[in-house]
Amino acid sequence: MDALKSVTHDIYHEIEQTIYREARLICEENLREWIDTLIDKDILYQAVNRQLRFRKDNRYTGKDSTYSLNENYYYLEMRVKQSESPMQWTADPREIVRHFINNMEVYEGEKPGEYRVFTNCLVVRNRRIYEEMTYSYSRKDIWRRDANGQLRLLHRLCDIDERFVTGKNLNFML
Amino acid sequence: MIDVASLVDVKNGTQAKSIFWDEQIYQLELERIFDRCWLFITHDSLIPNPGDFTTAIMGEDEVIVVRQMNGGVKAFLNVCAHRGTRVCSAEAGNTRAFVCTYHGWAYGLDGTLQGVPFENEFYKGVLDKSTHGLTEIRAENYMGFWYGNFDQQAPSLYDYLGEFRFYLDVWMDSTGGAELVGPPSRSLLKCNWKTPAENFVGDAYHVGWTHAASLSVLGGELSAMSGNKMVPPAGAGVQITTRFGHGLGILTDAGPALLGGKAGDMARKWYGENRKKVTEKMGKTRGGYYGSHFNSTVFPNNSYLWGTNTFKVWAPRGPHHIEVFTWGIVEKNMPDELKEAILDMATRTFGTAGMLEGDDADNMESMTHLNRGRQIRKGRLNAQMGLGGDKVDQESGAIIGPSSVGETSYRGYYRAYREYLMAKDWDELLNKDPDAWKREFLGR
Repeated sequence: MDALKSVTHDIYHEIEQTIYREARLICEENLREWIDTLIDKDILYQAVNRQLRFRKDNRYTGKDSTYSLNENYYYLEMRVKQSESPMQWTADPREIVRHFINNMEVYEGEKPGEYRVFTNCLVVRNRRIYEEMTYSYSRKDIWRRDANGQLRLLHRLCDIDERFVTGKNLNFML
Repeated sequence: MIDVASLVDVKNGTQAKSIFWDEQIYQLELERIFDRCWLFITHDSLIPNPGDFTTAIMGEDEVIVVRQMNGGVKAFLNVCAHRGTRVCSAEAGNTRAFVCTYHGWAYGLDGTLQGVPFENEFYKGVLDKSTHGLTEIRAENYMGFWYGNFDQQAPSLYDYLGEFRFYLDVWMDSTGGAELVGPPSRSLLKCNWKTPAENFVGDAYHVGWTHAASLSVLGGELSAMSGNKMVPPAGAGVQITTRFGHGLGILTDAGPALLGGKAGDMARKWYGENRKKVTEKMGKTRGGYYGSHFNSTVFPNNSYLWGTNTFKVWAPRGPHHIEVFTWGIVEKNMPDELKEAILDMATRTFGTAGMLEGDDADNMESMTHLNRGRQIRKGRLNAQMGLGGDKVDQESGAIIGPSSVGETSYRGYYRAYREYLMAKDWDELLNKDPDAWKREFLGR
């Protein structure tokens, strides 16, 4: 990894507030405001599940991971529209996706106005009467400033800890 | 005692709700279905080289599938012959041996016990290594898709697929073969294993309603069905069932499925260009099916969708839970750009965060867990749509329901399910007039 260059306390604070705001918008099911105000049009939004391999095995040629999410802006917005549809029965009654985000590190990105953000996430998701599911994963984000100076998410890679996803699916904004 | 005969009413197209809940029925299924049927384990494309292996689950048994030095494939129970530990904890890889982590017993690719630490010093000639290899399982492939079987009496995979091969060939053999793309995603659903298997085998009815929101935002041929806004026209498709329970539904010309825009055009072009060649190779009927959307289950628990190109195993974990394995499928000769677009959409629709996957899960879980209730569990499930309209297809030998939406394949799946549960062994299943199942199904 390249040398990581730290940011000022003010920038750290600004990004932390943005990440918390993002989590709140998702929890409040306000995905329209989320995508309109926090997502860059060049977004790449990914979640990866990794196959278990022996450490020393370097002869097998098959891919060792598969995506659960691999979306650009067009498809990410499609998911937002799906959630907004009055015909989305799975979210009616509502479900709650609550992020607990910590271990946040912020560094300067490769280009001016870009920031690399590492976090750990625990999500507790409640739906229907009896379903409560938890998910643990890391996020590697790149945020950048738009023309107005507003921070927007440019790239997110979520690395899902569970090989066998016991929370049924990852059908929420990670 | 379970009254097995009454679990499925073949003539009237109903099933007992207890089949989604009852522990005794589940144990009987493990013995008479999973111990007996061909179960999907891997594909050639995932183990191309000698020493390559993948692990799989057959019923609730963990297995290893290994490419041999001579190019063949063997499958074994993933368990040490000594004290019963797992011998391979990776899901895939390349190896020269499987070494147990407990005491270091080492097995060759062919399953033979090769090495036992301090064999001479501690066993002093007592241990017969020749009888302590890994337990081998029958493994056969059709078009590179490998299935395992625990029953020596079972017919070959080729015969087990039977009439169903006529339809599999449409995507497995049309333009030079199909490939499976891994690794699979793996997830837990709290449902009985048959709830997704029956949905994939024969449910075109739910598509416009369950998936209304997803279809309304995605593109492609299937999106027109969103919210049940349209009735598919007559001749838009068929429902099919076969002797050993495999079945499918075909939505004609809907192969691009949910691919919108440029990707949809690419898929339409590919199917259009190849249709003539497929017709020459396989005849008019199958040339017509090529480029269609298929929903299908290979009995008992291996499902796929062609068009949305997802390939699944629903591995049971008790009567109320399953492990879902999801791979992608494509034609080998498709251009890379088309493959990529198709696999990308397969992930988007039926992967672990699939837009349609999540819709289905909700139904499958509630139709399982409501059966906690004794009153609910006493009831019957209805699969009567299209009853009376089914007929034998002379070309394939299968039974066809002449409608794009119907429950023919449900009825055929459960007819076979009942027959497996009632039969003592494969001899009893096979020692019948090969057309008897058709008369039973059609009520003649």
